[in-house]
Amino acid sequence: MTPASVNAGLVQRFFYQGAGLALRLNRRLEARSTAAGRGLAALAMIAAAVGIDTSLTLAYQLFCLAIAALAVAYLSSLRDPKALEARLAAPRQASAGLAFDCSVTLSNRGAGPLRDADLRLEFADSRPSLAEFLGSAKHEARNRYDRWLGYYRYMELALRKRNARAAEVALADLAPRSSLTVRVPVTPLGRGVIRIAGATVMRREPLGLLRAAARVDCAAKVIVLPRRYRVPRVAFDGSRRYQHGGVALAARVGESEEFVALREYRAGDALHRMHWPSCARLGKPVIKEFQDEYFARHALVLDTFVPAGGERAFEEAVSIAASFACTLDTQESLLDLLFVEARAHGFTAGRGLLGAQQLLELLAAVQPASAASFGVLGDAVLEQRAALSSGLLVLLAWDEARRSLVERLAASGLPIVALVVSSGQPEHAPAWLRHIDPERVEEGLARL
Amino acid sequence: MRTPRLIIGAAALFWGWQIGLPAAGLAVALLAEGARYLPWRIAATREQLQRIADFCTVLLALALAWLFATRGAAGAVLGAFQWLPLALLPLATACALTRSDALDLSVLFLFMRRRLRAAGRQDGKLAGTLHFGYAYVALLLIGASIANRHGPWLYLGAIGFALWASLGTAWPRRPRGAFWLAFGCAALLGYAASLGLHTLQSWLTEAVADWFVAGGLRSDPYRSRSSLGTLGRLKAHGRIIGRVFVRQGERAPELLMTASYDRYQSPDWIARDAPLAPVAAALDGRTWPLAAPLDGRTRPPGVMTTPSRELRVVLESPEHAALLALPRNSFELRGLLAEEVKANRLGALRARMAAPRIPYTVRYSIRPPGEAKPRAADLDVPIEEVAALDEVLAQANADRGSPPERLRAIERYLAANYRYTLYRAAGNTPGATPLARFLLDTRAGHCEFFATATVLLARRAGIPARYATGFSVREWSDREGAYLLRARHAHAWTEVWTNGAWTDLDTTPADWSSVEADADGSLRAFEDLWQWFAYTLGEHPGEPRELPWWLFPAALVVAVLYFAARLFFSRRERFGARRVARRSAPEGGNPLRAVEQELARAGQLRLPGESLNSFAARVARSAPGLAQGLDDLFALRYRQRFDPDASPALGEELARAAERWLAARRAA
Repeated sequence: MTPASVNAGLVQRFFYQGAGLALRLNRRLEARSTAAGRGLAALAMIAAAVGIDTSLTLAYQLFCLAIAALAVAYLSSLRDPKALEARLAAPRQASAGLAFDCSVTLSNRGAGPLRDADLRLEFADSRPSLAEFLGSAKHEARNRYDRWLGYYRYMELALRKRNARAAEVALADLAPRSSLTVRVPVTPLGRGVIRIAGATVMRREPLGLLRAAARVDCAAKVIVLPRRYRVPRVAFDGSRRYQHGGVALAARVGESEEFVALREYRAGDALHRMHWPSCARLGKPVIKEFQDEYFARHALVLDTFVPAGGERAFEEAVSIAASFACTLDTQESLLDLLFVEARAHGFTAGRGLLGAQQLLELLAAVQPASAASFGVLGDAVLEQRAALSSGLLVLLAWDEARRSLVERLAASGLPIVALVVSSGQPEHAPAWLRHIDPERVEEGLARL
Repeated sequence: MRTPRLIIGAAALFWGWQIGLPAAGLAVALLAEGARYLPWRIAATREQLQRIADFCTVLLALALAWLFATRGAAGAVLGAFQWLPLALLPLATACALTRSDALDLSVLFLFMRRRLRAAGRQDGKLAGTLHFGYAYVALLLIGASIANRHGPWLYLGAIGFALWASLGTAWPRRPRGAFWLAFGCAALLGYAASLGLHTLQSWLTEAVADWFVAGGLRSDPYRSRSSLGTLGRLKAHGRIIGRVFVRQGERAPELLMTASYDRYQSPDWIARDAPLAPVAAALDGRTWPLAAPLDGRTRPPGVMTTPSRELRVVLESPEHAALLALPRNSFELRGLLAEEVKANRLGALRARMAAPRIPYTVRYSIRPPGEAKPRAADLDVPIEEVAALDEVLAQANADRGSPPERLRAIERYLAANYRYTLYRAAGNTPGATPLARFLLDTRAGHCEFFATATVLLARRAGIPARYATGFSVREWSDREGAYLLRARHAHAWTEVWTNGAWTDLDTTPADWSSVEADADGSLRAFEDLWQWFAYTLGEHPGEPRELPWWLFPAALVVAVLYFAARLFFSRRERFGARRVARRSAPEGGNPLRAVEQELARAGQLRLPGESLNSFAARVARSAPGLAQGLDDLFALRYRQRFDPDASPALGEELARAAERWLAARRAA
């Protein structure tokens, strides 16, 4: 490591700490001041700049009035509201981008009334870790100074981690030893989880410029399902396949089959299929007989190997996968969801196994792969190949590894539909490969 | 949340009253407030509001250019705040006509627009909102404060508007006793603070005025900070800081002095025992006789009768105070509308003005009057410089002969052995004083070296001498009909006492001006033009001056050209949009209609709402023979309809492809 890189690292750490401090100050400032107070502070600053020479303008009078009002407001806001309790009711699930309401019941256990108060929800600590900050891609749209300072990057990371925006709501007057319930609209920003850690009750001082604030605890967790799009009905040509072990065990691995009946033992039957209770009852060997099952089984393969700058495309790919997971007919067929995080994961839905809702919850938590190479996903898909009737691949790029996987699947006779979600048109793409621009997903899906 | 009714109108009237233009206030009130009472509202999109904000920016830029030209940088900033409500009037009116006065911040700030575009968000959630009505009232109050109308009205007005805004909005919802108490405390505290602040600044200004305010024309009557010790290249500024007008046929004096100093404390020159004393104006308040005692002596009455000349000088001083540039033997200033003029015994005159421009006419005699005799200090030589000075005096043979001969020897020696440079080399004699290095080692320097060396050499040779600073008058401008004083014309030279009078002796090599002129940037001509423009349009204290006739037509032409360009480009976009719409309109020009009809005849009817791709897939399943080539054809159709970058030629290509498909079908 060169001294220059050590220094750069130190500078980045310094900016990281600074941005964290700024975030906390910002939140505190928002809690402790009203829009009118912030506006008055801005007026004071402008008046100070304009009225720096008191013999040239009278702007210093405006400055003094504004500062005096803020000083009086500060003194009036020193006493925080006390003896408050809150109970929070939040839905278990929500959808990205669609606002939902949380219900907060606030109880005043104190002796005095609570007047002129606002309430805002507090989310769990959303500060990004140093590793996340250092590892996050620098936003190209920002100017060089912003990219170097990383402040906006930090704020974006924090917002992404918080994953929600919640509006402030004004509270009606709350008499002593009474309760009231308010609805707080929350807008999830993306899929994942929203952790609500509590609420802040902010009481405006008489001038309405600053607020006294008190934090009350009330926690809730909301799973945010991915955004879904309207997708066309995809007709898969694949025929039904023998499913070793039947529906119930379709997702498992091992020697298992669908039970049909009992029959007498014939030479050559495996001993582990002996039905021992019947043997004991009848006094002769009885064997369990199994029915082989044939039905369609589709694979929904989600590429989680995010290329540089492809975060947006990845989110859209997850949304597209979620849209298909909801739409594909799982009454008469099975749907395998395959993706890779640290290792390959496979989940089967349909015919009494997982429902679409559970698949969406899984997709809500999908993270970019940390495994070494795309080959892990390829191996997982090829392993299931024998049981699959067709495959829908949602890819993030079109490179040699992906091309190889798709060609091997196609060569094995598996009917596949392959989508590439990327900002640019993939190079050397065959005609049957469908490209979807993450900025125009609906349009891309409509063309399928 | 809208602003309370009538508050904007009242604030506008208050602003108009304070700045002395009640008609402007009334106009703003009628437009920004009156628009709220119209029976209809407009649904302005963000883009439309952005265009209105752009228009306001253009207005503000024009106002700033005008103010900068007429009032200088500091005046322009204050003026901009004063006129900001007028520049923002279109936006305020638009806000009054919309349903809400919450203005998206991206309307006002370009960088937020870029952020929105970069994030691909059109819903505006990245940018915050501003309640424009309240901001506008605040701007009107700030604008009113710049008029600087002393009295209680601004403060009372501010309190009134604050109360109005408080009671007229949702916060606080019910004014209770606590509100009135807090408001009263704030008003009283603010009043006390404003009084205290003003008093404190006045006291500070008075206390330090003599040390700091004299910085006009970068001079201090008490101390001249030289660059003798500075190494490397000195920066020479070409900015015009004054103009000298002379009568036709007369030449301007070569040197205009601003100050004189008698004590050398390396590397600075100091004026010892020379406090500034007020100069009394004549009855008209614009004439300042300088026959008052300089150095405690009254000028002999003969001064006024000696042949005299006069010249007019206009100095630019953003600090509103400057040391006046005067020719030697000045005895009267005329036309100087100064708040105060002070002089010291060494001939420095400082004027304090209400405006950043200082015009005056100075009368001077061309024959030296009797002047203040030299003092002992005028022969002082710092002990550390003596060795170097003696060595040079010996080499120059200036240590013998009469005083004029000694001076001539010094002048000759410096001219023959030293050269002018703006670059100061380190030299080979570390530890030596800057002057000794100049005299014995580098033998190259700028005017301060030559002047300092000459003063000290003359003193060492027994001739009283002083160090003078001022300007060298040498650049005539045909365009302006005046000599220009640039910052780089600032000069230092020597005053020597010979034949019973102080005379100027400039030993700096004559090429110094051309060396400094070479340092001018390539944009100097444009800057000169701009400064001339600013000078022509600017205020000239004490002189009623009409604006040039071409100014308003020129501004009008610029504005018309700007809006014509905006209109042209916006209409072009719209026409372009229409062209695209026409091209992609399905009715009438659908080249695939014949193909669909052909398929329908073959029993493959496209279902209502069925996409072309689904249709092609269905045809491929049920009649593979028919489907040949359909995929490509439909892909082309999709591109033509949905690809924003598709060329107009794509339509023709699609028509040709459809023709080919139909021909192949008929042949089959």
